[in-house]
Amino acid sequence: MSARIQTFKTILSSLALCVACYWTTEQWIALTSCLAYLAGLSRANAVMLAAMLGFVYLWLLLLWAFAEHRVRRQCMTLAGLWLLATGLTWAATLMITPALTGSR
Amino acid sequence: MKNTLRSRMSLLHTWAGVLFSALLFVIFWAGSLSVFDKEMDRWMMPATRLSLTGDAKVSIDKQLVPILQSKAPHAAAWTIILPSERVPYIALNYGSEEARKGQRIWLNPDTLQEITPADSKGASGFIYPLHHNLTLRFNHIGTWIVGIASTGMLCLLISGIIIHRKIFTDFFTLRLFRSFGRSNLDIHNLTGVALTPFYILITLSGLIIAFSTYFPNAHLPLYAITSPGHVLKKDHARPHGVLPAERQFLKEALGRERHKPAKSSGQLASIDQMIADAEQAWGPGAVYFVRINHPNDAKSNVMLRRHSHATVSKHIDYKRYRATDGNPFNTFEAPAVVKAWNFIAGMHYLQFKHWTLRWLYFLAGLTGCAMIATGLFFWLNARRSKAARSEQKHVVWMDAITIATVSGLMAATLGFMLANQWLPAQARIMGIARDQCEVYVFYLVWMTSLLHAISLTTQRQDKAYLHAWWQQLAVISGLCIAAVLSNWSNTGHHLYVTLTRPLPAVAGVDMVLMVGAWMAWHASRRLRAHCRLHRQQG
Repeated sequence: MSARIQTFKTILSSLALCVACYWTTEQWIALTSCLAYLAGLSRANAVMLAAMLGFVYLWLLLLWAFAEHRVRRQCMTLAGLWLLATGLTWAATLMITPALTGSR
Repeated sequence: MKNTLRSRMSLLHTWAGVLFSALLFVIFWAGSLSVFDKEMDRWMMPATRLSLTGDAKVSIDKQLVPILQSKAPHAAAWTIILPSERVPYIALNYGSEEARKGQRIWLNPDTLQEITPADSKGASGFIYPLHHNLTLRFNHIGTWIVGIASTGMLCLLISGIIIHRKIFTDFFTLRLFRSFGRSNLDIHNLTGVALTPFYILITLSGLIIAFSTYFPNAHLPLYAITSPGHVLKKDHARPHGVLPAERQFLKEALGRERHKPAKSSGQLASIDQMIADAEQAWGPGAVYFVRINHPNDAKSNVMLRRHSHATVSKHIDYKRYRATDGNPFNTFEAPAVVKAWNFIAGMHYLQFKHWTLRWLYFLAGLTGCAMIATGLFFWLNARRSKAARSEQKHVVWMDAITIATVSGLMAATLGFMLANQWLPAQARIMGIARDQCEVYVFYLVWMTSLLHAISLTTQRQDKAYLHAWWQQLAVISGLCIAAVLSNWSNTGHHLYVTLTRPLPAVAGVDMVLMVGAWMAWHASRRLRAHCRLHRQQG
C-alpha cells in the first residue's frame, strides 16, 4: 500500500512541477516582451520574440526541475522566479504604458 | 539509488519515455507521411493525377471569375488557388462569412474541365491533422496533447544525452548481429544521437508554430492596455472568441484583418492586371493565391499571396487591391522577428521546392520513429527479463500497446489507403459519408491490431508477444502489396505507366509501399523462424 501511495505522490508532484514550470514560463514571457519593447522592438516583434523564447525557458526549467531532487529547493526557486518575473513585469508595464497609450 | 544528475535524468528519460513514446510515435509517423501528403493525395485522388504542361496560362478574369459569378455571386469571399507542381489543379473555394472555403471546385488547368470531387480526405485532410492535433479540434485539445508530448520529447532528448556514459564511442558502434538487447540499444543510441539536431529542430519548430495556442496570453502585456474590450467573434476553433487585444496583435504580426463590405453593388476590375502588378515586385509566376473579399460589393478587395517554393520561409506577405479600380491600397510585409518565426515555421512546414531535402526529411522522420520504437523495446526487454511475477502484468500490457502503436499504426494507415481504393464512389454507409468511412476504417484496423496484440501477449505461453509481432508484420506486408495492386486495378496506373507518363507522385507512393512490403515480410519471416526455434528448444 505504501508503494502505491509513494507512486501517487510522485505522479502528483511531477504534475505540480510541470504546471509550476509553465506558470513561471508565462511570467517570463510577459517580462521578456516588455523588456524587448523597452529595448526598441515593435509590439508585434517583442511578443513574437518572447513567445519563441518561452519554449526555451520552459524546456530549461523542466530539465532543471527534474534534475533537482530537493523538493523545498524546487518550490522556492520556482516561486522566486515567478515572483521576480511578476514584479519586474509590473515595473516594466508602468514604464511602457505612457508610450503605448500615447502612441494610440 | 544516488541522487546524482545522471540518476535523476535516467528516471526522467525512462518514465517520460514510457508515458509519451506511443503518442510521439503517432506524431512522428504521421509527420513523416505528411512530408509527402500531397503525393499521397494524388495516389488517393486519381482524378487529380494531372501533369502540368505549363503551356496554358489561365486568365482569371476571362476563365475563372465567370465560373464563380455563376456559382456564388453573393458569397462572402472567393478564393482561387493556382496550380503548382505538387497540386496540379486549380482550386476555387467560396462560402459564407463563417466558412469562407465552405464549397470547392477543382479544375483541370489545361482544359478548365471540372474534376470530379474525390470524396476523400486524403493524406492532407487526415494524416496531416493527425500529426498536429490528433484530429481532436475542440478547444485545441489535440494541439495541447501534441504540445505536451513535444515538450516531453525535448526533455527526453537532453536527458538521453546526459545519461549516456560513452556517447562518442557509442556513436561509432553498431553491433547489429549481437543479442537483440545489444543491437536494439545500439540502434536506439545511433538513431538518437546522430539525428539529435534534427529532432530538436523539428520538435521545437512544431511548438513554436502553435505559440498562440500554447501561450495564449503572450500578447496581453503589450496589447491589453490599448485594446481592452469584449469578445469579438466565436467559432468552432475559438469557442471563447477572440479578444480585441488578440485581434490587434494578429493584425500587426500576421497581417490578419477583415474589411467590412459597403453592402452596395460594385464592379470588379481586372485581377490579371493586379497579378501582373504584384509579380513586378515578387517575380514572374510568384502569385499562387487570390482572394476576392465581398465580391460584387462597392468595398470589395482582392488579396494576393506569393508561393514559398524558392525560400525556406513560409511567406505570409500579401498585397491588397481595391476590386473596383484595381489600385493597391495595402501591402503587408512581416516584421523582422515574425520573419524569423516564418523561417522556423518554414523549416517545419517544408513547402519549399527541394526533392532531395524532402526525402531526407521523410527518412529522418522515419528514423525518429525507429528511435522511439527501439526505446520502447529496450524498456520492455529490460523488464521482461527481471520483472517479478506481480510486475509481469504491466509488461504484458505495455507489450500490447507497443505492438499496436508500431505495427498497428502502420496497418491502420494501409487500411485507410485501401478503404480509399475500394469504397464505392459517393458511398454512404449507415449515414456516414465516404471520406469519413475511410477514417473509421483507419481506427477500426488500429483497434483490431490492439485486440490482436492483447489476445496474444496475455497468453501464458513464453514469448507470445513475438507471435503478435510476426503476424501483424505479415499483415502489413500483405496490405502494402494489396494497396499497390488496388491502385493498378482501379486506375490502370501500374509502376511502368507512372514512371513513363510520368506521374512521379503515384510512382513514389507505390515504390515506398513495395519497399515497405519487402521489409515487413523480411522482418515477419525472421521473427517467425525465431518463434519456431524457440518452440523446438523449449
